[in-house]
Amino acid sequence: MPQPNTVESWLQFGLQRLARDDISPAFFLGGRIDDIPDRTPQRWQLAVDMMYRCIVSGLIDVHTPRYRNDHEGFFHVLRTFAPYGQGDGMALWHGGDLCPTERLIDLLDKYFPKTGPCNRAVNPAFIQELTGIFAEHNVPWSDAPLLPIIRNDNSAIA
Amino acid sequence: MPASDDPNAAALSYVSKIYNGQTPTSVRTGGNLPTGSFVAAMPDGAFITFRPAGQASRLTLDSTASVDINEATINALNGGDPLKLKFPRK
Repeated sequence: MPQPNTVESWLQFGLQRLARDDISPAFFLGGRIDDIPDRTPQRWQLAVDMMYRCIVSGLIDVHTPRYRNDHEGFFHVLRTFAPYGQGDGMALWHGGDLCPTERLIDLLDKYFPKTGPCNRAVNPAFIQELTGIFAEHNVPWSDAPLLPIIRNDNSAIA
Repeated sequence: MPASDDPNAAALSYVSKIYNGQTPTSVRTGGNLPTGSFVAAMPDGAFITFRPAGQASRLTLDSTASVDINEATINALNGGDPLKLKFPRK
């Protein structure tokens, strides 16, 4: 029986991949999640919130020079401009650069091999530690939006 | 991708192939993007991102260029994720 594609498995897989290569914010919109269809406001919200949790918790760095020390500005753009629009947000969504911190790499090394395929089967101990890290940084894992996206006429999602 | 003497030229040549005769509906440079990079939005809804060598993080060699393709069909074949291609130097 195939494994369900949950938010936990999606995040675990995505963080393992990020530990091996830098990615754009658009990668947080991708991946498999059974309960949240692609190109929906729910996926946009999840992407913004998970990037926010990981950055505030010191697991991911913003490598894009303009926003390296301006996370407020970084998230203002990502909340305001829909990911699939062709306006001002598309450069950051698709051309921005996120990279792993040493803390993320050390965390993943405790639970997963450094090489070989990234693992989609949820490791409960990893998710438990990750959940604890988010809680310590006051960005708890929750379905409630942390940084609500701002939808307007210019942010049509698809 | 295969190594070449000029990773930037190889990556740009690849981008022109995947345009496949289409003209981007929007191209963004500068601002939020590293020097020399661009994001192209295509009429079919795809986004193509080019980063020249030396503009990625420490996880990518300074001599390697990259191209990201974010298109629904390609993403579906790639586990739902955009495709990231690296163009190393020989």
